[in-house]
Amino acid sequence: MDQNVEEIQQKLLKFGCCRVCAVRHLTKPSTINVKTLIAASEQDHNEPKRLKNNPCIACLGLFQNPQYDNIINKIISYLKTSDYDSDTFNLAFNLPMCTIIRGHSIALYVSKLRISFNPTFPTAFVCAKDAWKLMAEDAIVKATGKRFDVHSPLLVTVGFHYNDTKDECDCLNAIIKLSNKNLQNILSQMDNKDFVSQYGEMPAITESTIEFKSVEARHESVYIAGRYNKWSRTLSQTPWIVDQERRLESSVEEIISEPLKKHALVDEFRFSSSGREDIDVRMLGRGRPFAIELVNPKRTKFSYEVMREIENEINIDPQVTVKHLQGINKSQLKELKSGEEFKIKVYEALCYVEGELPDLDKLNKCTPLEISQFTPIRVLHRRANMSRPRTIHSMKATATKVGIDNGCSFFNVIVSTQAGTYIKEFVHGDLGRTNPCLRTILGNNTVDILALDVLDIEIDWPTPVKY
Amino acid sequence: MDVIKNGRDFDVDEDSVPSIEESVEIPEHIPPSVVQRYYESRYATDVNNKPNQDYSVLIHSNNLCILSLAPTHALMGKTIDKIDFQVSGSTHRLTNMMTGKGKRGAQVVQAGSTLCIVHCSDGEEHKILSAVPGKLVEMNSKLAETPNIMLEKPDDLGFIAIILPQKQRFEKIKNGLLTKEQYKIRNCT
Repeated sequence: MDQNVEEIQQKLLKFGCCRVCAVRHLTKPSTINVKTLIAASEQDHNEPKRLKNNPCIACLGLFQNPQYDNIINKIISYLKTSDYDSDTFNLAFNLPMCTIIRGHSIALYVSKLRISFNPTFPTAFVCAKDAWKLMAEDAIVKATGKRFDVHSPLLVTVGFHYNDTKDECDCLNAIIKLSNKNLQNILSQMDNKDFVSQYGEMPAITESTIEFKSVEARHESVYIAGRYNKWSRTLSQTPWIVDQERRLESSVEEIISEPLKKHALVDEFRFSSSGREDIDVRMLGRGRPFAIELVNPKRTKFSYEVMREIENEINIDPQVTVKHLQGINKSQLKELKSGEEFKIKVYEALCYVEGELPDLDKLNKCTPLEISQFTPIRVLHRRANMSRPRTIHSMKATATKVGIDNGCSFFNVIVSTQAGTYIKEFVHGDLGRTNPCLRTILGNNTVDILALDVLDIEIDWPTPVKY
Repeated sequence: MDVIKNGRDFDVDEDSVPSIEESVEIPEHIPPSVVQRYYESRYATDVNNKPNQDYSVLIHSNNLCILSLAPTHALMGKTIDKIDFQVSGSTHRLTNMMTGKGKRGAQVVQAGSTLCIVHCSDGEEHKILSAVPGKLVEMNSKLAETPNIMLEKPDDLGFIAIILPQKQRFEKIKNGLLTKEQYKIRNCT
């Protein structure tokens, strides 16, 4: 080893550094070697009579026992008892601010010595959390069977407690505003002389050590997609709540989410879909594309068979049928939401007029048709009032026998429209606010709608599942 | 779509889904109209203590109020030449700018505020008054080109305005209006 490096290390040990910290403060991050760190740690622990019997002035005991083993054991037992099924994990440390400041102070001291020996020496060093993770990784991997991976969707965060952190930060707070975010940047932008004059040449030796406080984990969201049918005319898509009171017992969202929540063990979920239908509208055909974001799921592996099982569980409810259930990634979710305006939706409306049937051929012949639609009065209380142009791509109307003579003539219209068109208003005109509408096209002021079904959302999403 | 149909498409057999006409109950009589389905009909009479300043207020289940002429309004039976929406030096009812779902910036009217001024073919001039206070969400712009729909189709194309009463005052405002029955009885006596 370079003689100068050895000399500085000895100085650090005398000041009260543990061996691991003395080594890492003189190691470039790119040349780090776990074996060197572990050797340093073993040497420390096998030599009970160290130069100074205090918590390390750099890491405050992070690399020293009993803290070191205790933290590893806490992480292992957490991963073993929590239900996360991820094969990998990543670690994050929430270290008290004062450990960063201590590191900075030592780094200043080291670089001052280095420059006096050899001005070309690099000053970058291995930070405490990186060194700790490298050293502890093997033990955690062996005990849990999970691989360490910095890109893992499962992030385990360890929190620490240190009694004197406030006092140690206060001396700097007087001249600069410290914050947990970018603390390293704030420190390196400080004038070194100012820092030393406030903080001292080296960190003070303390009595108390850093202590383990908490361990928790969070898994990245998992996205599940599918298509749903709604066979009921008394079911809303999302919970219907007015003034904090439930109006209907259930909803499509809840019927679909409950079994998924149970299987994935999630904190919460977010439901989204390509548009929505009214409570009294059925969703037929190949169904409406939807996606559910599972937030912090513990179980994330859904085999083909499990997906079918979840579908069957959902489909026990006679009001809803789900199919093509599958995992998707975030970019696929964006496809669902992109170009929403231009998607084509197909509806069937059961309409009627008082008296004789008008000439339905007028409907078949008038498309494509540009209409202008003001925000319907029934949603105007919660939406902005504006007029939107919408395209009716095609219409096909046929007379319908309903088996009851109530003085009305019935007809069915299959309407293919631009997404976002309000169909009920396109039939009756909403006090003239949707124009043209079936009333104006047929020249009959009694045209109205009795029932509406969605026949198709013309989006090929998600990829069909082979059954 | 074909790809899907090759597989087991539905758990529910498509044939077992009732057709649209089988999926709803067909009423024995003429079904209720749009206005009957969604609105409660109320009336305000002699607004501002002026005789026959009578208005119909259709209250939607979401509390929006559609204002129109009642059958007993002074204008009924006349012919309208022109409607003026400039109700004061600075207020024009058709340039009512608002933004967002909160309708920020919308003109606010009181019960008795002038909504427009009607010029009749007989030379008479009538102020159309608001029967309820609240935000003016919409003034029926069709009245500018075809003013007589106000008389011919009052509860449909010829409505005057849409007003959103303040939520806290809604019940009080509603209770201050005549019900359909009260309005009928009043007209008989």
